[in-house]
Amino acid sequence: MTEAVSPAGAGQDTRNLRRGTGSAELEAIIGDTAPRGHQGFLPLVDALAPLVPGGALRPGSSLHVTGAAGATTVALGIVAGPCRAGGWLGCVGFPQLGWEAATELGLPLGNVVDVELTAPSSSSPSSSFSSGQGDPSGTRGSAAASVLAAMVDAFDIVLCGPAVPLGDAMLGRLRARARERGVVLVGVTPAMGRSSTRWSRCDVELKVRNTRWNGLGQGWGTLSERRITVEVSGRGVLARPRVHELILETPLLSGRGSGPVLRRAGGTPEVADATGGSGPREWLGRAV
Amino acid sequence: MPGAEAGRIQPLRTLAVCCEGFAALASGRGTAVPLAVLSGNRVVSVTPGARLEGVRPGMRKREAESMCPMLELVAADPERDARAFEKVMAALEQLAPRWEVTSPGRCSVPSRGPARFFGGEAAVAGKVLEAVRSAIGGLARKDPTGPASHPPAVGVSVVDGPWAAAVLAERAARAAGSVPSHLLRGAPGSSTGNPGGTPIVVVPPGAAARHLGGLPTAALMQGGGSWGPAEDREHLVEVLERLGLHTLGRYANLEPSDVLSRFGRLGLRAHDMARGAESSLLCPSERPGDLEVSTVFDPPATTVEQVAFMARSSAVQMQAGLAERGLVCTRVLVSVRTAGGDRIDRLWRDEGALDPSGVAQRTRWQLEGWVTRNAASRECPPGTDGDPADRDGAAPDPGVASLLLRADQAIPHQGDQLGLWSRPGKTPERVEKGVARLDAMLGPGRVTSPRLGGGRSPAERHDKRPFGVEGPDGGEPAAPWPGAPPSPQPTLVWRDPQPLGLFDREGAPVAVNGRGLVSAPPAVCTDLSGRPEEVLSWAGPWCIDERWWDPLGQRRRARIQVLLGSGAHLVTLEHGQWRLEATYD
Repeated sequence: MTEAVSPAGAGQDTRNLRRGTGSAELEAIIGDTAPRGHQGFLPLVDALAPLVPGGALRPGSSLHVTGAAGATTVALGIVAGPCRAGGWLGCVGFPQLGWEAATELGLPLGNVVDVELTAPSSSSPSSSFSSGQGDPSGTRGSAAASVLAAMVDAFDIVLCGPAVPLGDAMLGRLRARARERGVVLVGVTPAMGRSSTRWSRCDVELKVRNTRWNGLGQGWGTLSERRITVEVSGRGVLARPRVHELILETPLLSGRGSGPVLRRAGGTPEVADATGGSGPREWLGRAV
Repeated sequence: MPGAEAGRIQPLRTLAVCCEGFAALASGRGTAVPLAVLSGNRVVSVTPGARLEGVRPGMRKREAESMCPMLELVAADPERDARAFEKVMAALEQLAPRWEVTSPGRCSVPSRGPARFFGGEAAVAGKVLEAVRSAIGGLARKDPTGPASHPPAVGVSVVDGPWAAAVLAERAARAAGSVPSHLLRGAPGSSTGNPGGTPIVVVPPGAAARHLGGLPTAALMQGGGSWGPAEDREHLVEVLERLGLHTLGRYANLEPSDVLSRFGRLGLRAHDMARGAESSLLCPSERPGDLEVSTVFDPPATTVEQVAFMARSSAVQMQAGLAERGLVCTRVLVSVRTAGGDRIDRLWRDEGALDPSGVAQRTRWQLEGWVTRNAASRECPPGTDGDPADRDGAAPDPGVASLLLRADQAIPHQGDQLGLWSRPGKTPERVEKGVARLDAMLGPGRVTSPRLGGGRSPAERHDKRPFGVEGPDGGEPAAPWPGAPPSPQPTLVWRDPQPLGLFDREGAPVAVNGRGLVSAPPAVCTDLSGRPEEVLSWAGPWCIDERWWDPLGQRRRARIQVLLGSGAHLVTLEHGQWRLEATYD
């Protein structure tokens, strides 16, 4: 569509011109409606775009988000971008996910389907802060694998929480299926939960190094600004790990509503609309 | 002209019933209480009591409240309406078979048979009106103080053609329910129609055009839109208005060929309807033969959810059969047979076409109506509805033995115009299919769509409901909820908060007194295993005393945010026990 018009001749000029503008208009439409990037790449929100090459997730790739507290936030930020571009998210094995926080990070809930593998009772944290939750008691092993296979067929991006019990071989097969279908798999291991799946050898590995909170004092203030340091490693360009700092801040005094702002340190902040699907589609830029 | 008419199929003589404001009556608060049903901040349905105060459907919430400060507001809930309407349908089924429900509050039936049986159309219309009024009166029985001066607005019409019948019934209901202007407290000039107008309209055969002729063109939007998508109809009405065709009569006077060339098939359809000749376009293949799917439950299904789930997959099967013939179903018969030998049949019509989730939803409505009716008649055995003989045994529900779906009426599939990439708000088929498959694997209720709700605790602020099921909103998420944790919200919300210990420097447990102050700053937090962790910083407490007037729903809690070395948490004190409620991960 973008190739230059070739033939000469006065008679054809106008037609070519019209064709030229037509394709430009068409591209503008594509730019509005189709996912950014090309060949089905799933665009990330601007704040997270520098984390991966091209600012978009390659279809069929797999990601793993882990590390210190903050992994869930990063994972929600990652899946928000493709969903905002019209993709459908299937979330599995993550019964304790706070959907309001997801909305604040820009995830439109209209494009989200949540699948529960386990009976609701086993979703609480176990006795210890750091060792996470007990073993999922309901669906296990191969049953979970067939559920995940069905999800890979249905959605554009699948978010796997800590309750997904998959063996290494199963995970390998699932990845092959996702690669074939062009579906992005995102595995999350929050600091508070030991994942039942060992997510190894992912295309992109996001590791939260540390997270710092501001705004909370000794009996005053609220948790408001957090800085998350993420180390990104993986294959290809990402073979050499890189460290990024993300800032999630709540504008206490700005008139921008209650939505927190996710931005990269040093970058321009972006406001996630707290209403999700019904709000403005674009993130509103705001100077620091 | 008459020659052309002779060859056409006679329009189907139809009796239609319309209960104006049925959703408001379905809330069961009675007719005299000023009450409005809200959907998306707009009033969609009002009781006669609210109508008297000047509240009208279509008003904004604030506008309605300014009209009537003591107005009760209820969220729209189609399932509640459908359940309530089942009672009305039970009464109507004793008069005639083959009722067809367009939406809760509106239904119709071919009138030829009943008219012959009861000796005339006016007679059957009178009986129907009587039955509906007493059934609706039964809905409001909880409120015996309601004066009789607020009769529910019910209209019945017998006309050629289902659409004309629906429109005239709607107008009759509105006329019957309109309030005399001297009683109106609100806008004095807003009373339209003749107050206390006759609720029964019987139009002799062939005279429908005369009755429809005087109606404004906007009436095309009324009467249920089984003949075209809402936005196309709206567009048509707008164009007709702009062309100066303000009444249906003027539109009907145009030549059909001109109408077809200018307004297309939809316009011609509307033109036929305006002329009172609507069913001439009905597809002759009224009943697509053997297109029925039956499911036997062995052992009998005991939950509505189970049956609705089967209805969904049966509907998928039925749709596949229809698609092979290039048809879409516009009316479906849902027939449920219980293990106790009861049979509940209902015809459901939908504008556009019924998709599997629509069929599942209607099955759910039908069953829930039956279940509540059953329960009600068991509570009071000398009940008014049904045959109490087999119900007053106080036996538990025997369950559902079989389910039959039949594509009762189908039209040729005209095809859907899909957007170039994707249509916003429309679930892609791939996702629909995937969800159905997951439903089949995991059983109902495990595949959900999350959404926001209103409330003061993180767990209340989101809500999951089965994929594709509509329902009332839990609460307004954007409303001010004083005491709710401030933004950013916690990313992990524990469903079953685990107890933990919170101690001050001296090792004494931290308490919150009646004035909302902590006994001492928390310094150490221990989880169940007793492993202590230092509290780096903290804030709060935020005390909440919710529903103190309600002995059952009352909750008194205090929350604090704590920052530990391992992360930030929201911990809650209730009944002297701290629990981990949510985590900022």
